[in-house]
Amino acid sequence: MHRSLNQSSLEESRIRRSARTVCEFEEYFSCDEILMLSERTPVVVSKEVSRLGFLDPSSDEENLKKNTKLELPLWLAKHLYNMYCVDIQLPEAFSSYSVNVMRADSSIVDLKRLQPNYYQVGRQLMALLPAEAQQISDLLVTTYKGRFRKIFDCAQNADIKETDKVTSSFDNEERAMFFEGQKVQLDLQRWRDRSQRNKINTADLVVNHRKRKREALRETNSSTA
Amino acid sequence: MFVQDLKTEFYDVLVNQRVLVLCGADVDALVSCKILQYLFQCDNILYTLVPVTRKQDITEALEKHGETGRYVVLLNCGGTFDILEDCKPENENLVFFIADAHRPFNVYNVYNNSQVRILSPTENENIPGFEDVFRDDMDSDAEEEEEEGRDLDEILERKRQKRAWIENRNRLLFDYTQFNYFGKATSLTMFELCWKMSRDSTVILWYAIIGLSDQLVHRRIESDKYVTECGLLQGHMTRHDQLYDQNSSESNVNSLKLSFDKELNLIFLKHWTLLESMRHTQHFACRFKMWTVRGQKKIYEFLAELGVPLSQCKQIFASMDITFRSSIKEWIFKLADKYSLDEIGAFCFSANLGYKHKFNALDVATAVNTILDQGDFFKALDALSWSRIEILEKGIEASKTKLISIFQQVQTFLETRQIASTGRYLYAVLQESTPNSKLFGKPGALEDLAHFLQAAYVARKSRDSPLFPMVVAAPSVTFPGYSLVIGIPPQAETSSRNLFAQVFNQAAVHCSSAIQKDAYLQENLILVQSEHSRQFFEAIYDLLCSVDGRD
Amino acid sequence: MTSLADQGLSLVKEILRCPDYLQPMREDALRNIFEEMRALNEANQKDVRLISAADSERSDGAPDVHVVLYVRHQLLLRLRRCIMAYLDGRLKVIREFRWAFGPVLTKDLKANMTDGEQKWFIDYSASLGRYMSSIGETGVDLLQHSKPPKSLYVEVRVLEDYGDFETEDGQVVVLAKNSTHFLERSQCEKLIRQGVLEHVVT
Repeated sequence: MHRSLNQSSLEESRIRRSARTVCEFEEYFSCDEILMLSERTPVVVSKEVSRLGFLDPSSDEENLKKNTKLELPLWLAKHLYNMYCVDIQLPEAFSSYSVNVMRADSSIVDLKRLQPNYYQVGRQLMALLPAEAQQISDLLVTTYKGRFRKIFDCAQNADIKETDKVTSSFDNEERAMFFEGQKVQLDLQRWRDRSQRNKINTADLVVNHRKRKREALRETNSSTA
Repeated sequence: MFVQDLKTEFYDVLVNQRVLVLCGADVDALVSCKILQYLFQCDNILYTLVPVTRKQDITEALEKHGETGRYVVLLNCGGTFDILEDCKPENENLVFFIADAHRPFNVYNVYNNSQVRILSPTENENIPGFEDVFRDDMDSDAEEEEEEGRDLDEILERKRQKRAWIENRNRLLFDYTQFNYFGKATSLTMFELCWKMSRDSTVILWYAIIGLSDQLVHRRIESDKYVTECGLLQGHMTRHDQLYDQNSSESNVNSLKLSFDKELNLIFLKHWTLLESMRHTQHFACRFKMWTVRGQKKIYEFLAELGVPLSQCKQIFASMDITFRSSIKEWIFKLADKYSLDEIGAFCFSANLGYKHKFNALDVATAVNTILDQGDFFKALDALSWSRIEILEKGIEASKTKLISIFQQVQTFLETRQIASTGRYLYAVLQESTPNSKLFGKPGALEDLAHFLQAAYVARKSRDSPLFPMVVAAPSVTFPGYSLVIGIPPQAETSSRNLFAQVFNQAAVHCSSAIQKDAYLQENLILVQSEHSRQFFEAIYDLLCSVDGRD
Repeated sequence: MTSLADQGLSLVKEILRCPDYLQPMREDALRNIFEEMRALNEANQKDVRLISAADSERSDGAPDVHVVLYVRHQLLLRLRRCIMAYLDGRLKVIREFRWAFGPVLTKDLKANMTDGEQKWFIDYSASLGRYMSSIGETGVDLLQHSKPPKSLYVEVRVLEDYGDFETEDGQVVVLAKNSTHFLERSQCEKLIRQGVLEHVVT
């Protein structure tokens, strides 16, 4: 009986587990995604798990006690969530305080410092926190709406030398968008300039390679001199 | 051998051939090169372009690229020395086309009918006749030994004749090569070729104008000759205007428009402030002696009489009040007589491209010359194209810095009385410890400094200093341990005749100091080892005394 | 254990840091990761044996060891993903090399490539060559004419000494530094892309 109870609960948990499985990955080889999945996420342990005590650096126990609060990388949090071991908590970047800030004016928020993978982590969290999914989704849309204009403006008009300064408050996805926009703008300028339009260019890779070689040579010369 | 018809004897020969173009290091050569490049690109003539600054470069280029084709075009180089002898090309079928503004042409080049063709026209150059310079038995004494059987008198007579002939030849050659000077600008020759093939356009005309302006800027052409040439170019300019007026009803804003007018001869006026421009223009600064305090006061009086407030004069010309900007030219011309500003007006061309860029030909020639002097040939070539205006503007800025340094140096020299007169010539030596001495170790900058020093010195003491040539020495940048010495003709001499090439060569022989021969293509420059410069100057003095004695 | 995923992460970060050149292959990091992966695997095997032993004995066993097994397994997968992304990132860079530098690589480019990667490069070049020759009737060189040509001949400036260059009509042109040439576009394009020549447009 004990076993049949176990079996039925296992069965149940299996069904619930499949419902809870979050998308494993979008693109396997994407380094950006791998990095994104290692973001620290606050979790609360929902049941005692044996032998996982090493996850909590502050305790020496072998088992992970219930109601422990820790921070785990997102990928681990996701998998433990699948196993019903932890409950994900809303990180600070998506809290209700953030919601208010974003609603007020999201374009001034320094996303890079707050959460450099804001949108992607947000999307992941939507699946992990079904209760707050709607709130997170609204938050993401509000944030994006507020910031889009600024990104667009900067991409079209910013001086190429000031790129670092201008993108200092962008998150990674916004930066990628910015560079795309800037690239298009530069291509248009190059097309307009007759002398550049027909010019066959040295491959970018070659130019960068040469630059690096020159700098390395200069360093060795200055160190020997 | 001289080429009579440029098109049939020069250009048509090159079609479908590979050509090597060697371009000398001055603006005239640069623009000629641009015109030639344009023609070659129209006809798909494959060419290789190599810049040369000294004789050795020509030899090296011929070694490297000599196998590629059969024809070599030399622009502003190779005319004054025997090219076959000095550069020893291996390929004996190479044909050299020389378009050189330097004179006199070497007699070997003139009378070589097989491999050397000269494109530049000659005008009253007194080239010694063929009979006077070449003769079958010139180098051989063997003939006489064969004819032992002949009469002793005849042999003696022939020997005497030969000696007399040789003396005559030497005298002719000495007179012919004594002075170095300049002839028609190569760019004008190239423009003519373009025009005869009906391939000329406003852009090509602008190049030719820059070549001519460069000659004026460097005092390589007399002012009346300049005006004559300008007249011809102006004719072309009006022809183009009419042509394009007919073709298009509305004028294209972005096309090049040229204009010709009597402008104020103030350097970089449109890119600088009025006061700075006045200070750094040679004739103006010397007239007012602007390096002295009195001179400064006089300038302020002049400006006050002109009616231009000082604050306006210190503003960049383009930001001056429109009323002043438009009328300053006529006001200055009105006062020119009172202040004896003879050289304030100069006829020159300006080019207009769209609304933004307006350039004066003299300014452009000066700016490109500065870039060339810095050593960057291809950058200077790019500066001439209208799509790379930013290079030209950088050149203008560099020129301004150079002019400021020259002015300061002149001021220093005059205040410390370092310009000495030996009674036959003036000389000034730049020490290595002077700040900015690196700037003057280059030929272009040194020449400008020399002219300014001479003008300033003459402005101070007006007795017979205008009749003295001037020698200036500065530590060379590219050859450490050597001094770069330049000699310029006296100020009273209006033509570009310069006797220093011969003088330097002979002085070097006399004092046997270590010199670097043929470091530059310009004839009046020489490199002397710094320790021996004193002996060198003394040798020059002796030679100049003997020259005067002869005359 | 989470520190191990950091080692994998450091490999990934290296790929992100240098997207267009190669650093030397991090053999030491890879070895460390393989070591730990083996350790994890062994620990897992041990626990699996524990469970099956417990099952067969019908005692209470330690069903909770499932989670540890799962976690270790996911860690293994994660490490594998990091390594795969690292290797794949390097191959992407090498692929770009083929398009930028041509089929032959100089020593300084090959310096940081392992033997396997060099062989991959050769195979990729061969594959690309086969593909290019199969297009159309006589094959198309995809590296030519990256921009629609506007003229038959182009003016090029030599940036570094190349030596003799034989043109299609048999003439030999010496490409020495600081000279400009007027040559056929199709022949120069390759050298321009490789940075030996510079296309001059006025």
